[in-house]
Order: sequence, then structure tokens, then C-alpha cells
Amino acid sequence: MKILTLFACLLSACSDNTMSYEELVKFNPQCSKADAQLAQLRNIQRVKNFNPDPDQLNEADRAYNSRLKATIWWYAYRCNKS
Amino acid sequence: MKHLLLLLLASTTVFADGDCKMRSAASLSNEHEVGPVTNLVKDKSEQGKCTVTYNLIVDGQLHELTGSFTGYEQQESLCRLAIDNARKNLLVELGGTFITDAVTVCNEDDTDLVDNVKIGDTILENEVGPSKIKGYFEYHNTKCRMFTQRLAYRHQLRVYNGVICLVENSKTNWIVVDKW
Repeated sequence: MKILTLFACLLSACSDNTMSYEELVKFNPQCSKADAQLAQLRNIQRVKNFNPDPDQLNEADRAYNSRLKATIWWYAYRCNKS
Repeated sequence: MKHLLLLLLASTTVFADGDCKMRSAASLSNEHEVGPVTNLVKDKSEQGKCTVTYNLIVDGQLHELTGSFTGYEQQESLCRLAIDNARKNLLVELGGTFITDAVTVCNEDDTDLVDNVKIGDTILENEVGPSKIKGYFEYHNTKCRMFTQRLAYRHQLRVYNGVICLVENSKTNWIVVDKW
């Protein structure tokens, strides 16, 4: 998992350089790439570190957090990835 | 005539019955006396996973517990779930009796009694509505489904989505695993 995270980081030049909301909307989740994509998305979660209570987020963060979580859970119900 | 109408109105108010909601849940018996979590240590070094160790006094006996949870949730949520997992596993090991508790909550007004659930809450499945994403799926060998809630928050309608999963060894209790 750590290796995948590092690989995803290298690909996306992460740390503070996470996806914009528009990039997240255009993100194309695929079961065949689940491990790498999930690592990338989880890294974004770690960097963003949103409050788990959506009511405590401003509008922009709520939208981003919602999109991010919906995308991450997509793998669970589509690809049976846990 | 006015006085008669007022009298009728007052009577109606007195006899009006608010909505009542009965919530029931099955849980491991309260035969065990469970203390609070102490000496909690969280290991969040691995992304997507939280491992916890803590002490718990059950029936006067100290137990040192270790638990972990892996998933998509944020680290603090994973830690809360890890704590719950370890505690539930201990209680199952100690044994006991499953009992069903029921509570009836009545409200005076017509407000629909819908709770704004939080991550980590244990609820009945029908406390949250269906999602447009239908059906159940497996997550950590547990039956789960998506849910949607439409609630008013600060005078605005908000739509919340989330995931609930069936609590281990229960047919009725579901835990809110994530919410956004």
C-alpha cells in the first residue's frame, strides 16, 4: 500500500498538488486500475484532511469531499474492493 | 360563536397527538459493566488503516485491547471504528445474552423525526433512506449499502450520502461507516 501511495504520488506530483475539483469530476475510475487509483485518492484525502462532519465544511470543501468520497466508494460497490 | 370556536380549537390542541417513533435495537446484554476507553494509542502511520491499543475494564477486570480498521474513511473515523471493533470482539468473546431494547420517542409537533446520523452511529436500517445506487455490496466481508438523507440544515435543504454496514453478529443494527 505504501509503495502504491508513493507511486501514485510520483505520478501526480502530490503533497500539496492534489487534484482540482474539475479534475476530480473528470477522474475516470476503473476497476482494472483500482489499487493505484485508490492509493492516489486516499492520498488526496490525507492531504486535504477534511473534517469528517460534512456540516463543518464550507461549500467548496463539501463539494470536493463529497465527490472524493463518492469516487472512493465507487470501487467498493463496483469492483468489490475493500 | 367566537367563544365556541376558540373552545373547540383549544380542545383540538389538547388532544392532538404528535408523531411517535419507536426505535429498537438488539445488542449484547448489559450484563457486562463496561468502563471507558483508557490509555488509547492510535497508529495512523499506514494510510487507509488505523490500529489502536487501549485498556478497557469489563466487570472489574482490565483488558488490553488491540484493534484495527482498514477502509476509505479518514484516519480518525478509521480509529473510531477500530476501537468499536476491538470492544465488540471482546464482548462477544466474554459471552452474554442478546437482548432487544426499545424506546419510544414522541414529539409534540409535526416535525418528521429524522436523525442526522453521524459516522460511527449505530442505527436501524430504515433510519436512513435508500440511495439511487441500489442494492447491497460486500465491504470487509460485511453487508453494506449506500444511503441518502435529505435534511434541513440552517434553513437549507441538504442532501447527504453515505454508507451503512451491518453490525457483526446482528441482524438489525447497522453502523454508519461513512457520510458526505
